[in-house]
Amino acid sequence: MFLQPMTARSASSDPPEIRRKLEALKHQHEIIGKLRSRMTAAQLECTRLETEIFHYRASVAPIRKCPQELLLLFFEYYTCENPRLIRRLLLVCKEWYELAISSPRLWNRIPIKFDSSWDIESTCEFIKKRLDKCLELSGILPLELNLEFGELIPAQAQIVSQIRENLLGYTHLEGQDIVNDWIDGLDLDSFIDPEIIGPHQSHHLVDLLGTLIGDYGNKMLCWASLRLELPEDSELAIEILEPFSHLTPNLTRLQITCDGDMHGIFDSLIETVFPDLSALQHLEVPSEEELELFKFNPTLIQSLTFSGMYSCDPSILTPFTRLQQLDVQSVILSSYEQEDSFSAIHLPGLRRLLVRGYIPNFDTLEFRVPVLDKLQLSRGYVHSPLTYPKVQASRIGWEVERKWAPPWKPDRVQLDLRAILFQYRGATELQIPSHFKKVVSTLVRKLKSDSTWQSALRLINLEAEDGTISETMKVQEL
Amino acid sequence: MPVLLVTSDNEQFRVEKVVAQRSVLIKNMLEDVGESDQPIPLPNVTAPVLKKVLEYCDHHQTDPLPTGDEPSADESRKRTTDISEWDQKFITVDQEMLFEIILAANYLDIKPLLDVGCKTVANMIKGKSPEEIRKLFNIVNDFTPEEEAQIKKENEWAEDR
Repeated sequence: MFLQPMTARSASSDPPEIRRKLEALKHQHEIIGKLRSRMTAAQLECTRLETEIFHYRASVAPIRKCPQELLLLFFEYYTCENPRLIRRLLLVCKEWYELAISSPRLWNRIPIKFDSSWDIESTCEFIKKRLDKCLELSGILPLELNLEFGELIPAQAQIVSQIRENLLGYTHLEGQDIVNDWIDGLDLDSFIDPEIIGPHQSHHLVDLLGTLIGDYGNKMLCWASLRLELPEDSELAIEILEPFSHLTPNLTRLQITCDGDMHGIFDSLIETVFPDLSALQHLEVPSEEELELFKFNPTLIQSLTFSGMYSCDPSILTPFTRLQQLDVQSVILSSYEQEDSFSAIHLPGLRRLLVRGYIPNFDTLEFRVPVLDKLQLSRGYVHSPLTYPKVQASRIGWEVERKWAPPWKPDRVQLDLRAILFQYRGATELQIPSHFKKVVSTLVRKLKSDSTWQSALRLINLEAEDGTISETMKVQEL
Repeated sequence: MPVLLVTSDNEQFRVEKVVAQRSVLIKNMLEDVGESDQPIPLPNVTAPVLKKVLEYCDHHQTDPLPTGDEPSADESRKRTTDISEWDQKFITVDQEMLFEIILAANYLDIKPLLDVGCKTVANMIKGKSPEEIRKLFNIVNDFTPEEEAQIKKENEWAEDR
């Protein structure tokens, strides 16, 4: 430990030996001082050199060779799954900031998601900030909206759910029925009290939608696509839908999902919502029964999706004369009647058909269509039959819907694939999940030695979990 | 019939026409000159980069060509950053080569390769803070502290709502 300078001073009483030592100590302190100042200078020099090297490297960094059109492409891919991420790019450097805020393509896709939040007001304020920015920076570009209100529940229901959660946590199993009965009997309207919860929480939501809709619906004129997920609660759904009563002459894509009673919701709005869907080309509705709720020109529709299909009445599809893609999914019915009648559907422009799960009677329909580019068959339950529509397609895709996927046994898969290979002999390509490679290879090898199997099949594409093709097998080499 | 390509560093590559024609630029040049064994100069591409680009074109020579009359297909490609297994291995290169490939794909007009390159850059940025992005690409933060604070304040929205 060094002596403090004050104590290092020599005193008249110090013997000569101590005085010499004090002199030596002073000298050492001087050396330390000089070294310190050299270190400080060296550190400054290091910082200067580092900065110069960094600036040099930055000036020749590979990314600097990319013109702005390419930077913009990187930004587009970066924000493709979540446009809100653009905020991170704004803070990287001035060039990126300027490019981002002057590129409407980065701002015209607007996702809004609501969950069962207690504080709708601040959630709305938070979202509105982004919304204003998007509307300002998207310029004249058509808007693509994704409004997810599916998880939204009324405030009263939220309170009830919280009470239930709290009480059941302290209730014995045998007493839970009594508690549930008591909670079910609560007067929900009594919660609408300013001291408990404001009666018009949802007006914040409607105000937010007002920003998207604009004065007298002027912003709705710019809507190009809308994906709307309605809440299950009918009253909330009606409040959300009610303002959508202006013209949308440029809306080409509409997807509506609703777990509640969509007919009931639309009936109470007396045909005021979406009064003009004259430009619509792509439509997705919960089922064919909801088609009548929308005013559109069926001859302009290019793609049609039913999240659930109840009926196989061909007259439903007949008006869609320019349909290019039909995507239908089964509805889980407790029972259904197999009909023997054969009906014809004329869809001269159909290019792609996607069938998910088993749709009763769908394979009795006689499709009057050209050879499709692709037929995609998705299996649902292991025990339900698979639908094999009467079409011809150059490419067939077969997949298992993962959420229902049971532990698949090779013989079950083989049955499906065998049926496909026999029914669609004109197909040149088959696409299946890669983990069924062995099953399909064995099957095709076996079929090749079967003289009754004449097929145009050339390639088998094996699909990785992310949907990309991981391997292609040539049938002639199997 | 093979095609002769000449790079900026004067190296020559003899490749099958079907492979070379994955590049719209070369395809158009070949259509313009007709049947000819004239070498095609590529002044914006060096030999090492062209070698990589041709490796991609060779692997994808049987893929259907983008038709250009499907604007929605072009848009839908930008809705995902998934890259196939082979492409992912192919594009695992250093940053210098990555951006050279992207520039070459842009110049030679090979849209699927440009997509792979851009998706790779997007995936590199994913999950990173602005500071981490700067470090990754050697970008100088040229904002003043006040400017940075102002931008943060103007854009303080949630990334999931």
